[in-house]
Amino acid sequence: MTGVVDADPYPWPYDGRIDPARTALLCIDWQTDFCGPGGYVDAMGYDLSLTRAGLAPTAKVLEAVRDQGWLIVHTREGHRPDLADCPPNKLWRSKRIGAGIGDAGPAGRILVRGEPGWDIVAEVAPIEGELVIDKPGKGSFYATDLDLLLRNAGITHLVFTGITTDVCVHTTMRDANDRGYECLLLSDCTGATDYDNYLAALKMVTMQGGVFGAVAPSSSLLEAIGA
Amino acid sequence: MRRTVGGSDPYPWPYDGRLEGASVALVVVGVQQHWFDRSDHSPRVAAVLERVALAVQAVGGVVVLVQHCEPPAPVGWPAPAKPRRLPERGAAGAAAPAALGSLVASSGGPPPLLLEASGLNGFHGSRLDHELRKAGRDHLIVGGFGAELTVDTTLRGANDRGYECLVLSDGCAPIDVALGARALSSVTMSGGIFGAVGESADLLAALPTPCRRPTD
Repeated sequence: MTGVVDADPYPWPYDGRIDPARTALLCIDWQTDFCGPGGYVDAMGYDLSLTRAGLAPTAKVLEAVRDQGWLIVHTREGHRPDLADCPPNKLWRSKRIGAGIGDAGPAGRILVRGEPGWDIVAEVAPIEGELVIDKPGKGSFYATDLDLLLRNAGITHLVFTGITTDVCVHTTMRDANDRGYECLLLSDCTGATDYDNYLAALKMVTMQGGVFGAVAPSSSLLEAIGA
Repeated sequence: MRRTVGGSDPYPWPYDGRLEGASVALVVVGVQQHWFDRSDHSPRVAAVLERVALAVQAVGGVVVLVQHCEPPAPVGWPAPAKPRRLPERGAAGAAAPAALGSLVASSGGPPPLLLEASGLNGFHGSRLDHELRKAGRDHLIVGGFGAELTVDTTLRGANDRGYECLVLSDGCAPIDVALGARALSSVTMSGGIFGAVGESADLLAALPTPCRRPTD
């Protein structure tokens, strides 16, 4: 155990060693709608194996950091049943491609809170005491209490897993960075609907010496924390 | 009458067909020496954006320019200080370069509004949302310098807030051309997850006829 993650483009975190009291694991949108059969991403016809690829490594990381007492935060994208929090252009775009938000599908109404498709999948489901954030958009900070919860808990460092890499994970990581959080993205604990966009999203993090933080495989994190 | 941009991907932008002077704003981000110098494409993109700014102003649209400065470091953080990745306020690189003088002074209408954001997302720590709402602008034409960082991040912020966005493919100066192209590809996934991507010539052709020409 070194407390320092062998990451790209710099050993993470920048300020020394991982402090479990100041570090949270963020699990973004591991919902049936994004990685399960009959959900939103499936309805759009994308290859589910791409968004499911990170499930097993994420489950392993979750287990390890639970043992070490980290704060764990899960997010879910979804809308109120009456869709009052869904921007009209978002609704229109989804209907145009045949995966309308609020429409009935095999996993219930698409992207609606409380429906089966909105649930986090069993492999990485939250357990008692873990925080769950419901968000109407792609970013986890906009129109949520995430920042308040993290500040109250004294969190300054964030480790990211989740889907999809180029959309909800990147949006959240970029906004976390603007807010001053020191961020690490676990490369094998995330996926996108397009593999090249996934690779590009990983690379963008490392631009300019780590403009959004750093990237590392989960094995490097596990080694650093002695798990 | 529906009015949309021809060839915009993945749908004819805007979704509601309301391409009207009174609803649109051109948002140009990364209007700084720091970003201008990081792309070989900046001079070409500057020329495109100057043209679009005049045309948008001519039909009653507004132009907003955004600069990004390093957010203040949170108090009580352990040493060493967090690495600085954006220009500090007032530092060399934070201001608009001389090459963007024409854009900053665009005179097809009211002068462009120049705003400062605290970070890469133009909405973070800035008056951008307030100014757009105040002016009744919910249709944004987006471009700028440092595309895959400044434009892409601000676009995400705009989209979550419900703005209907068109990214100008020839109005973005990428730092890394391949990554810039991937950022545009992400926009078009899932039926236009952050909006649509289009070219400036198609936008100009689709704008309503101005009450007066920009050169008048």
